[in-house]
Amino acid sequence: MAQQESATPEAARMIRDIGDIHFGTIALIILGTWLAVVLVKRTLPWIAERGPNRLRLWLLGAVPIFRLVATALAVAWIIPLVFKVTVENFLVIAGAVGVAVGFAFKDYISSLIAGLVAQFETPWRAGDWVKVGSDYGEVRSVGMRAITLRTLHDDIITVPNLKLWDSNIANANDGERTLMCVVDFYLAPHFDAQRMRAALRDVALTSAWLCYDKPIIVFVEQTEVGTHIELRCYPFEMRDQGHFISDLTVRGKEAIRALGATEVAAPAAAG
Amino acid sequence: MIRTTPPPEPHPLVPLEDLEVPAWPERAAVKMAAMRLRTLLTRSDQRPFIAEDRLDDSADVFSDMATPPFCIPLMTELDDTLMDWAADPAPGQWIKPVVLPPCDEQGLLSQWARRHHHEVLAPSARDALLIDTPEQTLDLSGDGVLVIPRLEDWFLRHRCGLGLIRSLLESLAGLERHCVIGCNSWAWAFLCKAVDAHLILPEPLTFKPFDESRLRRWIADIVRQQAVEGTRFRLNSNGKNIFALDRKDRPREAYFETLAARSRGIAWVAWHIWQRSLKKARDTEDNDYSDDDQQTLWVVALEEFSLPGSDGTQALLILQALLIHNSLSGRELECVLPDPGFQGMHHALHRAGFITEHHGRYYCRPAAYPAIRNGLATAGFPLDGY
Repeated sequence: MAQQESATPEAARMIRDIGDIHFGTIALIILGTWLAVVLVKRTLPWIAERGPNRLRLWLLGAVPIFRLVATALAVAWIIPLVFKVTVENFLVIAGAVGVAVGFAFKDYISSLIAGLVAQFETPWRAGDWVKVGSDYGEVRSVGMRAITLRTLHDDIITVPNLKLWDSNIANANDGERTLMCVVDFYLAPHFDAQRMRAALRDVALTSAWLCYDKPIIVFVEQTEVGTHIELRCYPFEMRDQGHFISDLTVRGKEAIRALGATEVAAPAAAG
Repeated sequence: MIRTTPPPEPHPLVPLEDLEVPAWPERAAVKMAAMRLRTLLTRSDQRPFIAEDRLDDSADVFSDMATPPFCIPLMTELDDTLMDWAADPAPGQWIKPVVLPPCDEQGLLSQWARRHHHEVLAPSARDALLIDTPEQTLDLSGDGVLVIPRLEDWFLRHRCGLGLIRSLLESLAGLERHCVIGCNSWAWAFLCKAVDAHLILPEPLTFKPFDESRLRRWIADIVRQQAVEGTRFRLNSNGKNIFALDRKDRPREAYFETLAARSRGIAWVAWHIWQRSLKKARDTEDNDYSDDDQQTLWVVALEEFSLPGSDGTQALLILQALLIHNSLSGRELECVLPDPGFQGMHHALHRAGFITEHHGRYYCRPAAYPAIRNGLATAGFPLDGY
């Protein structure tokens, strides 16, 4: 009881007198920060879509960093306007706020913290192609609470940063400007595997979407269904992966037919 | 001023990897960056991209001058580089690959071969490239210099279109005969990836890009031969003579420096841009007949044309295919493009002036090359080394 009585005046001393707090300034800082964040959040992705391809990932990646820095600066600016900042005061306030908010908005705060961690661990960046759970798409925006993905079917999916704690996250390009595309073919086993590898390699080499700087791999393995061939290669622009895979598939099938091989369908193989 | 400007001095060919394209003058670079930024900020996704980027929008381009003999200074450079080698009965290197800049309309290496009566090896028609024939060995034996003017004529970017170029490279690998191989820079970049041309052939040579000085002197030389005596070339923005030099023999205007940078030092690209920038005054009063001038030609500021990087993928794929192959017919174009939905686009590009058609074959226009390259670079396409 006695401790409670002594704590109350201490808490009162941490906060400045109401008359000394410049609410107008605080409101301006919050408004200015919000405006700057919104401006950057809208402008940079817009420029990234229209500007040179090589700058796109860099511009998109700058948005969450700017927001983090702007928010941190705003908080650092506001705190001394409200509180008398000392180490003791800081610990008391942080403890109190942590307990109160932690119970009320556990998942939300967890997502925010995950968003903060994601800024440094970078399991995803804006512009990356990631798979979270069963959702695969391009990271359109990285928020403090959630990221949004645009899938190959043009759906927008919001994934909470919370997933960072308990889900496997597959990042297809990891900050690079291209990613590996894989096209699968299943063939009945009686064919000339060497010629088939060479033919499928030529299919990749002559694709208009091909990135010259990356390797082409034709992987062959024997499976119960038939001979599995994986054509692995990279497009020069990862957003064209749908076109690239379609092109490889269509022309790969032509090459397979031209060499007299037959594709197998899983139901037929099972039957 | 033109009369006193000496012709350009020939420069021997340089290794491709040592190539340095002329830099932009600072002021022009800033101006261009500002213009690109403005284009970027004001471009609408809704408009058809061709309409605004038309190249054929000037009606009174002065085109009386005949196409210049590009080959003369460049042939001199080929002679300087290759004559001693060709005369050597046991050279250290039997094969000399020469990477040429794109949009070579005149067939520079063919002309050089004809001039020196060298044997020219030409491929079979492009249609035959797609017929899946068993591997063949080409007989390249003989005396004298063998010239293969365009390596890009030996393949099609199609899954069946690489057989002949592989056979050719296989035959060239063990060849002990003087052989000069020409290849455009876009085809060379493709062939290095597709058939490892850089591993089979020696390090290629290329022309040293035309910098401000060479370009000014070369164009002055052509103008001296072709234009009416006393013709003055003045910038329409300030009326100053573009060939004027200061006391230290440095150009007073940055026109040719900008032209060299914009054309990436490619002589024929620079010429076509230069020709597009010449205008006659509409009214006779605008012409300045002062002093001994009989005619004034106005040089308009070099405009920056740009292709969109994001919404013109179909157009860019066509342009890239044309650059790699130098020229393609409509049917060949269909073979090398990834998507069947391209039928109308090459007509639109033709109308817009980015490509030209000759005897049923489509070519990229040299004047449009800087815009095309910039568009391809912006969209992230693999580029050439020139």
